[in-house]
Amino acid sequence: MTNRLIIGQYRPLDSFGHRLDPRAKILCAIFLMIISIFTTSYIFYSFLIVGLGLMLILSDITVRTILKNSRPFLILVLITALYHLLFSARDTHTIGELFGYKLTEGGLAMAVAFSLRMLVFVGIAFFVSLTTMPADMAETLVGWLKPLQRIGIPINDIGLMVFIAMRFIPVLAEELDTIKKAQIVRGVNFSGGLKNRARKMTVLLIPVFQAAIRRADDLAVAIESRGYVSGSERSSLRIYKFRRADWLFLIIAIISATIIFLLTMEEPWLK
Amino acid sequence: MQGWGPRDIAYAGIIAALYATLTIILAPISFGVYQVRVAEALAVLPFLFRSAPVGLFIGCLIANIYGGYGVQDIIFGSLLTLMAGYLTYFCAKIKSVHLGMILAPLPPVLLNGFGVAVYLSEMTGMSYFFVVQMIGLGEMAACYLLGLPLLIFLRSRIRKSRIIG
Repeated sequence: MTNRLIIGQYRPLDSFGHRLDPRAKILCAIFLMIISIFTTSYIFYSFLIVGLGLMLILSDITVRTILKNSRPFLILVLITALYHLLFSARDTHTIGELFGYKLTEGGLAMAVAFSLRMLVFVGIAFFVSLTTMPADMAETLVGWLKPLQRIGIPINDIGLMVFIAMRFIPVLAEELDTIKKAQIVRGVNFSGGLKNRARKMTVLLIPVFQAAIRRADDLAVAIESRGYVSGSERSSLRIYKFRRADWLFLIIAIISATIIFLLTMEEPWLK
Repeated sequence: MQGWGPRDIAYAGIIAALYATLTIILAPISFGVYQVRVAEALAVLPFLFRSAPVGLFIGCLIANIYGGYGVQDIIFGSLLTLMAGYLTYFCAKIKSVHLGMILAPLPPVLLNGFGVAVYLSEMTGMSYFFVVQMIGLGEMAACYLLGLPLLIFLRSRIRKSRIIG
């Protein structure tokens, strides 16, 4: 289970994408995702997909990795396209038939636009998650939440929880694998129908949770013995600094996306 | 969160790790319109642990980063999980324990069903109510078929051993 490629798992490489400041990448991702919602232009989406592809290549992410990671999302894109082809814009001009089902111009347009939009979202998520360490992402988010400290939200405690979570994800993944194998040895059959699989999941979930609770108890003792005081100021191991390359990346990405957005706004086929 | 001790922090962190692990390992069935997010079974934990809502929020936030459904999913998905977590926590305050336990998995089903569908329908262009049905069914399977037995088991163990609380 743990040996399998996990979707969007960080690839520890030394590339342009990896060296960028996580804040620049996340800010850029937020901007692109927001601007993508306000259009259905296939030209705009195509430009973004090409740009994201280039960024992934610049980040030394191979096409094989992208294809392996994107399989479940491609299924969703296909379902989205089929849904629009069959059910959307039924009152527009008919262009053909599929298994006796009427295909309309509007349906095809929506299928193309929304499938491309999905690909844009998946591409952005891939670029950020494959090139940014989860701990860096978490630290960025915790850093942005710092102002909430003023209204009494203990951001430092939340930061510690985030780091515990990050640290224990591989440990628990390993444990889940071990427990699953142990249950198989005891005769539990995890294959079969959906109902059977769901029922057998409790056989897995309960011991995993018990093991997790034991770890939490040990961890609580460790935190207490190190004299951790809730709400006190904490320092960070990494200090992020926006370099010229980060500014350039952010500005070029935002300006070019905005220009293409404005130029394709009046696109006649898909408004 | 005022007055939380190391144990609350550790529990929240471990719950977050478990939620994220289950979601990421079972990623093909954990994201999208047609999802049965097994980790949502943990959404019943606020009934037993006061720090669980924050743990679920962090776990959901980490897991959704890998999801491919964007910033909306990372921010709003996690906030909905946090809200659902606190509503489940309040279910523990209901006088009738059995009623409280039956209601405990309901907030994540309703909030995620109706809330997540808002941005997921916008992203995919699918009808809002179609997405509500799909997400709602997946949540119901995770929270009631997996979450409720987990809650019943853990509560009986806690009552017997009194080691957690």
